[in-house]
Amino acid sequence: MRIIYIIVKILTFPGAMMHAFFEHMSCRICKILVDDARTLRTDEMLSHIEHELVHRRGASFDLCFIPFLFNLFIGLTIICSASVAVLYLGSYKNALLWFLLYMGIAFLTNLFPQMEDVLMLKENIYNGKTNLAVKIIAAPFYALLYVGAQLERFGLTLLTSIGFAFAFPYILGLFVPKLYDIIMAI
Amino acid sequence: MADENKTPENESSVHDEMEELARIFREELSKAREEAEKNENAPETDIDILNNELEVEGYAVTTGEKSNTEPEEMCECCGERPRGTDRDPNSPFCNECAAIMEKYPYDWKGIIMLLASIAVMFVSLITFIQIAPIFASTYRGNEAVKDKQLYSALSYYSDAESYVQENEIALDFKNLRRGEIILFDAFGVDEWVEMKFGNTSILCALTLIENTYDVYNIHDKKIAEIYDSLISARASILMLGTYESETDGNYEDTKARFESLIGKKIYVSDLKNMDSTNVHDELDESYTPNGKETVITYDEGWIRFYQYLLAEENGKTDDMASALEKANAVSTDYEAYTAPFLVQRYLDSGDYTKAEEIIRRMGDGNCESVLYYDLLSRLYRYRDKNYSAAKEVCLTGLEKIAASYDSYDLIAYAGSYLSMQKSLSLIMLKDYEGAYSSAEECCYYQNEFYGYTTPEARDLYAILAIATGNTEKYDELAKETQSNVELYGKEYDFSSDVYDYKNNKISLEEIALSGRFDRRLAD
Repeated sequence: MRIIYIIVKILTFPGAMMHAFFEHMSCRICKILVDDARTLRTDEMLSHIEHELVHRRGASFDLCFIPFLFNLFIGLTIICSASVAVLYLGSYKNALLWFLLYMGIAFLTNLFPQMEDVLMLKENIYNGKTNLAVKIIAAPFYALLYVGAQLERFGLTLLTSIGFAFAFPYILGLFVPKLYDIIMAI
Repeated sequence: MADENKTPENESSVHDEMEELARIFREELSKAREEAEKNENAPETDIDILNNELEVEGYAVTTGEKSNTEPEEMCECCGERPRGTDRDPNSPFCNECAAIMEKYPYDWKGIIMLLASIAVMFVSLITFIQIAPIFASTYRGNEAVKDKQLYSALSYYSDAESYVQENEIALDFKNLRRGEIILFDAFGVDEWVEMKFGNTSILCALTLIENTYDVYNIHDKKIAEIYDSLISARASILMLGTYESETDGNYEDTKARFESLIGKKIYVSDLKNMDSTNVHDELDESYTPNGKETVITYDEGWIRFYQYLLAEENGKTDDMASALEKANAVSTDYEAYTAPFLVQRYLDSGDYTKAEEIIRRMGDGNCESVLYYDLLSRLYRYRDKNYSAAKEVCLTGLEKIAASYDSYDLIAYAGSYLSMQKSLSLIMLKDYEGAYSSAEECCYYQNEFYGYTTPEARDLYAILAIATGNTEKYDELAKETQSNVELYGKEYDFSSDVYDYKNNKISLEEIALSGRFDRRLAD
């Protein structure tokens, strides 16, 4: 499984590098001590950086969630044109669109934190000191990150991001035509 | 081999050796300590450093057992300063190291990738803004096809096409073409019949599909099926047209000849330039296939359609119905041309269940179909005697069709049929002024769409002119008709209904329910 994980990470290295970069950025924001911040490497730490254990709830959440949000935002922005043009409208002969599709998939494949970070988040949130409201609010985020991290361990996020690329035009179809009408009306 | 040498004797000798080494190490260490104690001011030796480290780990130097003392813990990073920071006294690092680690510099490769990603994001956004209108229209077109709103779909696809052309977007949108082809297929033969047996339409469709095949290299099962059916229809129409023109005028012989074509093969030597010179069938004895032709089987639906036309020409009403029923048995694809005649026949004979079945199917195929609203209005008028509903259906149809596709041709086409139905319903509601206006509308739209007015529309218009006391209009129509009779013959005169009504031999209600004004041009 480890080899599949590394292969997927190498195949989607632009997204992996950016995830590591944003993880580092989160560490700096949250003042988490960093041991090794190389973004491009060929081991299982590709897409992550080596940092010290985090004992603060907020910092732990930010460390997991900020890279997720940034990669998601960039991935969606890049993939919107490519998935619509290539996968929905069938414009197969444009190299730029294929490149955009690849980049979008690369970003969406590398959304989730390391399993250790997710478990650390669990440790920090689901303990006796945290009040119930925080636990309830954090539950869906924790579940998302946990499931994502589990999928990423087996390289399955590559498949989910390809699937998402196919589904994305139908999601856009729910509001883009209406949005276009509004823009045209203005 | 390594496992073979691993004997108990060997293991004990290694153990002894290790014990000996440990003893020597302890002795040397003790000596070094003693010397260090003698000279406390002497500089720190390697042994001292090692000793310190061992103490930190919690082992006694001399005995090798756990120490009871609590040595000060040093920074994990530098090992020189004590652990703990101002913010976190339990930190394994010292203040200085923690500060450095907090501000660990960003990897330059990451920064380059970030800049590249931002550039790619912009490219993607610009591309998306460019294609968003095409996507919006194609998406709505596809949804409209799913909802069986075919005119709306046509409208959306046309919007997408014109946007591509106006903005000179150099991308090939293969799935937009696919949608258009599927839409064309969904329209069915209704549109083809309206366009003079579909020759023009079929050619358009063939060109569209060929472009899709050649330029965009589609390998799509659905498109291939449509392509095959179009090729078959085109070849069949060409061959049937040839047989029709060669007919000696004997109805039974021609009918039998058409019948004999069912299941026969057609050889097409040039698919792209298909015309009567390069299309032959297996009954043609003068033609010997060379094996390079495309072999197609006759389209039975079209054979039945030609039989129906032949029967109509010869006034064989039962044969007309029989041919259309056989066409329907082949596939419901042909219902668009079989429905008007068959539904009227079922309505006349009181077989409303069969009529309704066909009408519902038409609505399920295209809920914006002119024919659907036309036939549904007839059903309400004949079966339910619900004239208000019949009128409302026409109004709804006109409204929906006008909203679906911004094409004057379509509005004129819809108006030419639905205004007639509306007029007949208004007669039954005794709103003669309204009926007169609708008949006028009908004539207007027929002129706009077909370039002429059908005798039925003109006669109804004349009858309603009399009914509403508009003698001026009636005289104008009568004068026009008279000049046509003088020019083209007696068949261009008013029908007997007009004269009968003028002479009070027939009522308006009888006229509205006679069925003579429900005839469509394609009937």
